[in-house]
Amino acid sequence: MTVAAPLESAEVPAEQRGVRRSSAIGVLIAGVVGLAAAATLTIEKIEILIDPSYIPSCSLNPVLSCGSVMTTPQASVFGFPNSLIGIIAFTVVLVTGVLAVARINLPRWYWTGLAVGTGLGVVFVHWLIFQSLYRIGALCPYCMVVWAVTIPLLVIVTSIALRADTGTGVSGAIYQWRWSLVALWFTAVLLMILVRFWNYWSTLV
Amino acid sequence: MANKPKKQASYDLKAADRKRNLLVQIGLTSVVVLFAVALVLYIVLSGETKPESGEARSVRIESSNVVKKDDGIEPKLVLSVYEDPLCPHCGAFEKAFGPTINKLIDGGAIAVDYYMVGILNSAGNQNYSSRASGAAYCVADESTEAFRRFHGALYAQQPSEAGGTYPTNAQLIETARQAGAAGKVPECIDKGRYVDMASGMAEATEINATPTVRVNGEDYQYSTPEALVTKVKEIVGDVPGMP
Repeated sequence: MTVAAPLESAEVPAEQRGVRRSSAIGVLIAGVVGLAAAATLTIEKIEILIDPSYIPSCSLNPVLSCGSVMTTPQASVFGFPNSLIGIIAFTVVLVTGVLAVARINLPRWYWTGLAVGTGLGVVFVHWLIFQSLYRIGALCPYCMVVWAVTIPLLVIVTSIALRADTGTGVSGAIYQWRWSLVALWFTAVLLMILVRFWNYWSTLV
Repeated sequence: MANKPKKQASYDLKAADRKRNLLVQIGLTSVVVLFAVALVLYIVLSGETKPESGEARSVRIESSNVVKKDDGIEPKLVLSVYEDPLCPHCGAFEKAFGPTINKLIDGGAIAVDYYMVGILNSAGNQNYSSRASGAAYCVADESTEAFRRFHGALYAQQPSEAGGTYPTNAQLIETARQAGAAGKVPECIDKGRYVDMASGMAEATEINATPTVRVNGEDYQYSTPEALVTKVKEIVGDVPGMP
């Protein structure tokens, strides 16, 4: 009881005051990892532009090959490399993570905005996953890091924005099972990759 | 993770509750994940599922510059050819029309859907019709170019319907190899992956005889290669390199 009570009392007001510790750290990690991936992609892209025969560090085999992915039209949907969006977006996430870890209060609208932005990112990521798997037919490891980071980030940020104020019913159940859903999402994507490139994977065995 | 802070019940009970909920959640999630992984692995490892009788798959042969419909996706003229590897008329049809059809394909005038039909099976020929038809689908899975060569070879070396010896699966595999199809083709032919489908093809595609030729889905009474070319010109117009 003595252990549980402070935790409990820290948690309930925390939902009014600020952000739970684990969530804050989660946002920070997502920001750091995402930014690192986006920055690497941008740098590799510049290297390719300087020297078209440059082989990026993430081109490991025919399937795991960011060189072939980065030069596709899908990698610059808006006319410039997608990774530039990543650099900007994950910088915001990183700064937000630092502020949250430092227990600085951010208004709810800020978190809502971040959640909406992350939501758009998730939509974009799914489009990229589809393109990568079924149109381009290759995987780019750094891009997959971004995929992997964006989904949990959406879950964390949305939880903060809604202040876990979901009550019962469907939304409550979704909230309760949110990490299970993330786990299922990861499983689904990994299995899709497994099946899509089975011909290649099976030659490695 | 749990979010039931509203009731101010005993904290001890809540903590125990929460722990149990968490364990249930982790347990259920792991079960679903493991089940999904096992299922997919099972499907992938046991090879692709065997197409059943009643499915009508065709082998589409077209060149990259084939004349398209206005939608820019479908070829303007799709010639569907339904053939049994054993039927003498199919052999005659291939002899007479094969070169013309190949030129029409290569020139980009038409796309051809080959349906391999197994209707002349018998114990005497060890169901050669369906075995050879199925083998052709196996080859097509590997490469459509190899399919064209294999398909040509089937009719060039067509056994007589009346009797004699019929190629075994091993001989079909050898023909496939010479046509340039390796990979999973031997296994596919050996296991007769498409044999059932070939046996049901006539019924599935509602044809009464082989060879049946359809132009854009409508039955076409073929007479001479020249007439076929005229028909093609009617639909797609003049295409360079047309015979």
